[in-house]
Amino acid sequence: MGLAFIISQIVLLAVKNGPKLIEAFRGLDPNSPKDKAKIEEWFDKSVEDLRIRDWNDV
Amino acid sequence: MISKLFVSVALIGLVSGCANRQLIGRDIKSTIAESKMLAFGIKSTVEDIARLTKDLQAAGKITEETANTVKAVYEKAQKAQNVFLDSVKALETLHATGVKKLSFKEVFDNKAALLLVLTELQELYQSIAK
Repeated sequence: MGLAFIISQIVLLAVKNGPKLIEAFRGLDPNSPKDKAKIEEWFDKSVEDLRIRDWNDV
Repeated sequence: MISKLFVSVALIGLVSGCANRQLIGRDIKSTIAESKMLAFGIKSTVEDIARLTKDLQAAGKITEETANTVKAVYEKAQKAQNVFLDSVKALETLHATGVKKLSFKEVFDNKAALLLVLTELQELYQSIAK
């Protein structure tokens, strides 16, 4: 029962975060008008905001 | 099992992506943007797992030992993510100097660091699924 619950939670996390990862793996095309805005948006993000926080701060 | 499958698919995507997309000569700006998207996805996943672990421990559904195992891998993933982000910063510096295309060295450094993060993430999934 406990294991089933844990696995279901992990699947939920994969479903929640998976699309972002898959999109990044697909790659962004600098010549595509659709991807251009996304490139600008993500290029401008600060690297410091993407660091994983300390365990106690989560 | 399902989480292992998910991470395996991600790794296959990475390897085939490197092989098929001919990263050498690619636009640095879009590579930086992709790397940041990946880093965001990894950060969200890893931090969600930490919250989940804490909730499960508080509810008495996992032992302190299991939680500590997850914490140890979490900290490894955190360090690996920092290595990856430092390589992204190096790409930003390179881009600021006017370089527009990736050379073999940048491709290798960037993807090797990413592989390190994904390996830690896979360990993290496995720890929590135990």
